Amino acid sequence: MRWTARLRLLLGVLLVLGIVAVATYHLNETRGRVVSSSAQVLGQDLTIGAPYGGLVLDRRVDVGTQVHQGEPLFVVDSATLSLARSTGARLPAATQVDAQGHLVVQATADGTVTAVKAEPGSTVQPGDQLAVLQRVDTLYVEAHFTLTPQQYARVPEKAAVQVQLPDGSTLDGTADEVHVTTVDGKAEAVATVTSPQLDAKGGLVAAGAPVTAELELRNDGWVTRTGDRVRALLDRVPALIGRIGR
Amino acid sequence: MAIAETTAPTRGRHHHDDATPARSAENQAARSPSLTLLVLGATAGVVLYAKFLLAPANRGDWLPYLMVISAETVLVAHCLLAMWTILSGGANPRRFAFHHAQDRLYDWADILRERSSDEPWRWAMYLHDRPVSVDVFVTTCGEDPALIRRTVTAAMAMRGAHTVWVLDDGDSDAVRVLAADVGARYVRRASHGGAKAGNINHALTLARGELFAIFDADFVPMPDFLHETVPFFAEADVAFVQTPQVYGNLDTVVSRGAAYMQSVFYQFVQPGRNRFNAAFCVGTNVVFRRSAIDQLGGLYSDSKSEDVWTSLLLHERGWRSVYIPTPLAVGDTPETIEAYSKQQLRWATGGFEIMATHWPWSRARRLTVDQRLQYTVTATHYLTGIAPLLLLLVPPLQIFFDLTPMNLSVKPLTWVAYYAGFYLLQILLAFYTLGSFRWEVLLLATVSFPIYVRALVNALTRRDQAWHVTGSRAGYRSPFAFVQPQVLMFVLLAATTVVGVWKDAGNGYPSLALAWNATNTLILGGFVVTALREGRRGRRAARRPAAPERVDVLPGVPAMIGGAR
Repeated sequence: MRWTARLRLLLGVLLVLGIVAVATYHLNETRGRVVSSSAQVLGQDLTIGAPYGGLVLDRRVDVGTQVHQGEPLFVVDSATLSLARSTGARLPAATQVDAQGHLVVQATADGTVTAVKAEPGSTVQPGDQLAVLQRVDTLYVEAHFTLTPQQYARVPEKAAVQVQLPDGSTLDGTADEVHVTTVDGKAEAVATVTSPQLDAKGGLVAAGAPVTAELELRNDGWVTRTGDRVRALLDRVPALIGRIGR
Repeated sequence: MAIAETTAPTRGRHHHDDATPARSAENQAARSPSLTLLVLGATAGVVLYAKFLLAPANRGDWLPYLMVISAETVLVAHCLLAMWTILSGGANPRRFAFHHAQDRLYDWADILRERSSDEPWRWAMYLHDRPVSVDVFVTTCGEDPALIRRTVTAAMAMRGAHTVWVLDDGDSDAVRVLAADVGARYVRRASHGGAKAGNINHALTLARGELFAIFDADFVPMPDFLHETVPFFAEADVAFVQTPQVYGNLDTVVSRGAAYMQSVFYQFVQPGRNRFNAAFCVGTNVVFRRSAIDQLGGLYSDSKSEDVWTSLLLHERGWRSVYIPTPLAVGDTPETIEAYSKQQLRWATGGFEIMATHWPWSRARRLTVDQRLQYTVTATHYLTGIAPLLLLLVPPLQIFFDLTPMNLSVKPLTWVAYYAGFYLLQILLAFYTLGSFRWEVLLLATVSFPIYVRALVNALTRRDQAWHVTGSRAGYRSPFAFVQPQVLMFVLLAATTVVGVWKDAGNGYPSLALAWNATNTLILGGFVVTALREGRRGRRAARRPAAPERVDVLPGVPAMIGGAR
């Protein structure tokens, strides 16, 4: 074999090994992640009820209305309220009595109205639901993952999670809690993922929206270390070239 | 006549003991009803496998799926066609006309008068009571003179009067001397155009015989060669009679694999093609009718596969071909990776040329449907050699990129079962027909894809790109000059196996992809080891001043491949 043929063989082997190295790096990246089998956005709900029974006179909000704490939601004409007030009872929190002596039910927190349960003209009993409020800044993602025991062992505390929204944009979050049960030798993990960016998205994300979550596992094998080192080296290349150029 | 027959010393099937019944056909298995059952079973296995692959619910990712589907389509189609051809091979090509002509081939009164009963090579041959003249061409091109002498001597000693010509493209004086020594005519050309076909066409301008036989320098004919082939020409539409290539040198992995592959072809496929009137000439151990070749203006010389092309052109002109599976000459199959690669490249290029430039189903061809079918098989056969390339790349795709050809819901065991239904039955079929199965075949079939890819490119671009290898003719050439793609593929698969082990260890469960990939790595590794061994042997031989002569197989001892019986 001539030396050119040897050289060609050597270059070929190097090329193949290079391809394998890149592919391995890629594999390591994907290996460090688990994609959720199902995930959805959830939020904390507040149920607004009627402290006294009576006739609903007015509804001030619709589904989707954003409200602040103390904002009036319903006006109720309540005979029992008048009776109670005549005996000197204290007015319950988050309610007011207006000039006509009607009961005004107020929002207990900032949030969005997600359901309306009573219409003007209907009669409500004490304790009946009037509306459901979803509080702001309480959105979180509940994600289900199927993990092998080895993968479960690599789930770190406060694991980083990437959440992909229905519109394709992604958010960074952390898995605050991970609950696990085992089915067929595989860990079925349920992670509660919080992200400060979730509420900033505003109306785009509502409770119940389907999302995809990627859980980042601890991935500190030699491939990761080598990959990081190579990347660090590559990052320095432009600087080096610049220095040589100067 | 009756007296003459008893006195003729070598009359009939002389190498048989009188006590045992005459041997039946060489490809006896092709006539067995059990084979029919086995083929039916194997067909069912193939169909089930195809159904499994094509079921839409089983499809995985597109890229590996398409790779698997295209590779397996080629393999499955050729497998079905081959089994059909093998089943067709049960008919005896010898008809009444043959036996009648063979009985009246010699004039016994003449032989007695000449007192030549002990010198059968002097017996004049007659067809339809007319004397028939036969030329025998031994083509040489730089082979070892001792090898050529062996062939020419055996050619001289064949039964039936004939003229032996040594057609020397190697311009060797040693060959000239040995030809004179043995009593053969010697021809040397001024220019060496057209390779072997050109060499023979040149000789046809000198020779005048009605029939001519061709032997490669390493193919030693048996005494009965003409006796078993010439009578077929009593039928006026027979253009050539082809006999199998039988090999005596089964000492290396390459030669065993190559020989075994071809023994299927010569014992079962060619006899089957005979029924389609599409058996083709393989360049040696063949007898041609001169007038048929004259119609074409000589052997086809625009291809390195002149044999297949000549057969195709003869069939287009309505000539008939005869193939008999009787071993009548023993030769050498490629022993080295270099020789094997060159031979396969030549054959595959010939096949792909037909596919690219002479498609058998074109309306311009005057062929029967049977012939069109069989020449399509010829034209596309070597695609089955490219299919392993696609299949080798599927496990790495899965290991690195999690791309799977089959849906993840398909259990590996299900897959294995369907796969076995296809391949294990094929191996069983090989066992039944040839009596054994050789791992060398699997090895060569898996690793030869670079040769066939190169052949396909050559045929499509109509270029003739061979290996650029320097080195003196007799000197040592490393086999690694020919197997670089295989070495690279080995490196890729070996590295992938390591990564696959690391991945599966991390996942905590084994994968089918890793098992496949490891198997493929072993197969390619086996080939690299073969190349290493061959290289070492070659270096040792090159260091020695003169290589000792090979231990030769005696002519007359058919070394049937695979120990069939």
